[in-house]
Amino acid sequence: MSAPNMAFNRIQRELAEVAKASDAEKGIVSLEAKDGRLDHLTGVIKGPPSSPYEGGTYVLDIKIPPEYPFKPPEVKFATKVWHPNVSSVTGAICLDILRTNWAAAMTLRTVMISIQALLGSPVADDPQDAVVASQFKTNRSLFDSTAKYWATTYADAPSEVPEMKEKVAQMVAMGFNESDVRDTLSWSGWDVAKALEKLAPE
Amino acid sequence: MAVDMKAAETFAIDLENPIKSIALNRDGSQVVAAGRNLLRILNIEDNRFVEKENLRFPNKRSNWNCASSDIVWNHVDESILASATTTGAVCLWNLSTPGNLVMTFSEQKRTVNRIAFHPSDASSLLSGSQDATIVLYDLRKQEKAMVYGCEEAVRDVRFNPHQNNQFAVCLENGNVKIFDMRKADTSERELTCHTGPVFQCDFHPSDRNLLATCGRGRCIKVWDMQDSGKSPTLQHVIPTIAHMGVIAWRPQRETYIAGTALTTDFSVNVWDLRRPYIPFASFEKHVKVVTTLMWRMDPHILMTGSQDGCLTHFTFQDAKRPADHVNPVGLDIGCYGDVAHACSQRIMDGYGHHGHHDKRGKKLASIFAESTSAAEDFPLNAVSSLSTFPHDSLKSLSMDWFVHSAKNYLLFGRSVSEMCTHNAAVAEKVGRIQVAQVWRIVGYLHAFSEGRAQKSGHSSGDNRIIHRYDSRGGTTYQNRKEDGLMQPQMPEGNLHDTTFQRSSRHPSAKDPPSGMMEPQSSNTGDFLFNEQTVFEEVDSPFVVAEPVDEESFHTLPTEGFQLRHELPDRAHACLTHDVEVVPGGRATTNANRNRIRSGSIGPDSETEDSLRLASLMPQVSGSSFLDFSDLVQESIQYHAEQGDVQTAVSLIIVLGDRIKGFFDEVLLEAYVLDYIDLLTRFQLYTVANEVIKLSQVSAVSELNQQSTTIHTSCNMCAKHLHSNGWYCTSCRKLTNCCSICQLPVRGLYVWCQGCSHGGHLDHVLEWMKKSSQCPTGCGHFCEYT
Repeated sequence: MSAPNMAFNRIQRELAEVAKASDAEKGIVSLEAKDGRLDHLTGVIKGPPSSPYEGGTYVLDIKIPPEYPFKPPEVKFATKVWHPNVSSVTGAICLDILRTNWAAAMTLRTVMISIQALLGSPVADDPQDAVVASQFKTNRSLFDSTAKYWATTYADAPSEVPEMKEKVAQMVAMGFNESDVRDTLSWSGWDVAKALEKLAPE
Repeated sequence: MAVDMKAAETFAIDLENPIKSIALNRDGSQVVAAGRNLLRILNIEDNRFVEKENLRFPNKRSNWNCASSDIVWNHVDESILASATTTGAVCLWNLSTPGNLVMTFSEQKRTVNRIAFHPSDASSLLSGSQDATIVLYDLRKQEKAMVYGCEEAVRDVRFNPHQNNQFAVCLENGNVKIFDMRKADTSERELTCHTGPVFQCDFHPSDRNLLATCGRGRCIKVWDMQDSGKSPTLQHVIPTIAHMGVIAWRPQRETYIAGTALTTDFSVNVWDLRRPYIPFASFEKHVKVVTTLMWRMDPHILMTGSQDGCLTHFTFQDAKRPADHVNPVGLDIGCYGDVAHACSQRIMDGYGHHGHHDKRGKKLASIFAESTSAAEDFPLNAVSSLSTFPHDSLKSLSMDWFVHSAKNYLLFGRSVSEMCTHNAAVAEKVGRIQVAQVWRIVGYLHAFSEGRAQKSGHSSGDNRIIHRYDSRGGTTYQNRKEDGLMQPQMPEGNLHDTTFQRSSRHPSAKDPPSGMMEPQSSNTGDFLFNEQTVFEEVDSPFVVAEPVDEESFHTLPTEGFQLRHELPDRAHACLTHDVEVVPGGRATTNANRNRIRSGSIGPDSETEDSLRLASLMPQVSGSSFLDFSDLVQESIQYHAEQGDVQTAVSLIIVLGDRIKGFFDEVLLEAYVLDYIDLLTRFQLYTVANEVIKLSQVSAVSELNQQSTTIHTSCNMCAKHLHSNGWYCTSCRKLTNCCSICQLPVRGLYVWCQGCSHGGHLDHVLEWMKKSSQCPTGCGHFCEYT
């Protein structure tokens, strides 16, 4: 069958393209084949500057369908991200070019650049994660600090959000799982009482 | 000047071997002649050559490099000579050493056509060979210093006397290259001079911008090399009667150049650039081709060597002056039939004041030499009068008919008969009745063949002939049977065929030709009856010609006939006759019939045409098969030979495939090219292109595809793509890849005309199955139609 061949040929050239262009564009760190398989790749991008994600390193999980490039690659975040267009649970991305607006001329590099741009400018009207989106709309400062906290925690961003760290530590001391605590607190808008209610309903 | 003018006169010496090349020493007192088995140095004395030295190759080598192709004398060191051999070796001779031959270089593989010493550097020797290389030897180091590569065999090399490091190279492909001695890899300039090999070039001795070249193409060309940025411009052309092999500028006379032809003409001519059409002086002494010529440092002395073995010393006072013996009268006819006539005032005066140029018609203008730009160039202050006669004053010369016909002939788009009728009308309108007649005949003949193709067509008058033929041959009964199938019974079928045969004869005799095409019904009894009577009246010779039939018909069984009329009998008689009568007798009756019919085809035409037609028709019947192609072919050939390629080519195009195979491709090509040439002369480019398109000659169709270059540019930086169409050297990117697989497209590339994106056909097809938008994501809803 010619399609997978075409897909693999393209992927190989796209890997080379990213390797060549990564110097010029600091945003994309790398694109690598997982275990030498060309249908499952790992991309790494930087959080865009002057955003809550600045300084973070985000890992993308890219699956290439056999019909590629007639079908878009399946891309999701492997790193947890607090973003209205990215599921905070699964990492699924809501981006038009990965669905209906996919074009064959797009490459993995352009896709990664688009995702990076998406991080920089969230679109709350077309959300993937309703909780994050409503927070983004109603309480922008809380959203920003939550996103920053997530970036620090999961994406190795240098900035610190001490009060959130404190709250997490406080609840972890109660005997809860740390990641569960983070998620729940984020979803409850850092209201410890609400979070407690969710984590321990009884 | 070293040479005493008074002492010099024309003299020669026979060296008994063809001379290939000669060279003079610096002061012109000695000459060396080279050729096959020839390498001799001669002193030039007052009235004779005296042999000074015979250079000999050492014995062991005498066989392989004694055939010299060129010789040069070193003008810095008088004792040094160099000769080139046909084996590719270059030999260096020193007259002051015993044995003379000092060195042999064998760098080149094929004949060395020309060698040249650098004008000031005694140790540089250039050698150009048939193997497409030029080697520069350094004689001090005794080795090659440089090798210049060319893509073609080198015919001549020559140092530029005005520019120390420059030399010119004449190539076999018609180009001349200018090299800088120091740059071996590329030439400085290149100019295309001739259509075939360039045999020689010569830098002008005083004007540093001029370069003369001669080669295939029957002319000497003089180029202006002044602006090195621009391509050299052609300054002068001297037309000659044969391809020129040797040229040399005349020293101290700036506009004169001597030259001699490679074939045909054995004289040496000297032209004045200002009067290029007739040689200024001509030297005729040689009886074979002159291979080399040289001015002996003096504008009045020319030395030549010829294949007849003669080394000749010409002086100018012995030259013929052809220009003095011609009558300065010119006459030419333009393509539209305008006549121009120029005549020297000297001759006009001789005729007195008769004003003979007024005799033929309206005198348009009388222009004197000083008022025309062309005449200003002439050194002679000749006064001449020029008269032109417009074509409308001379009907016989007018070419209006040609233009009209060319514009109005229909060559495609309709049926053959329609086109023929139309073209006949066009030809008639311009008064070419015979051509009109030919068109008409071709139309009819073709209609016949068409009728044959559709055998069921009982309504066509052409069937008549077909049936007659079939029955006559006796072998093509099958055809008759097919026709008969249309009828319930065989005998009746015959009956109807034959009756129809007659019925259609009548209108052809009476009506204008178009009547023949009209459908007619033959099945009504009344009609048959009427026809019978008319037939007997009109075609009485036919009846007379067939008394035999009357007898034979009586012997035949009659059971199958419905005896309702006497006509069926006659019809049957025809059949029996056709089958039984010996071919010889048959042929005469046939001819008779045809004569009758042909006479009746064009009742309104001239007698001459009718006669011509009449003489053509028997040939038609003479062929065993109903094919008029050879008749038409003859007619076409007749017209072409009469110089009327228009009619010939138009006929060929109209008939197209029907006449294909009857003409030799070469002949056809010649016809079509001639017609195109004519059309171009009349600036009928549209018609010419139509002819190119419609002619089925491959060599002609190529005309419209030649010399069309499409330049492509990079779609990102708009830089021209030179080396290949898919990689831009400046962006270092592949251009115009398939937008789906992003590889260069080899083969079919489909574009969306709206957004100009596209790619491999199958990839785009697959993409369009899934999406209606452009695969590049440009947002365009692509439409591939």
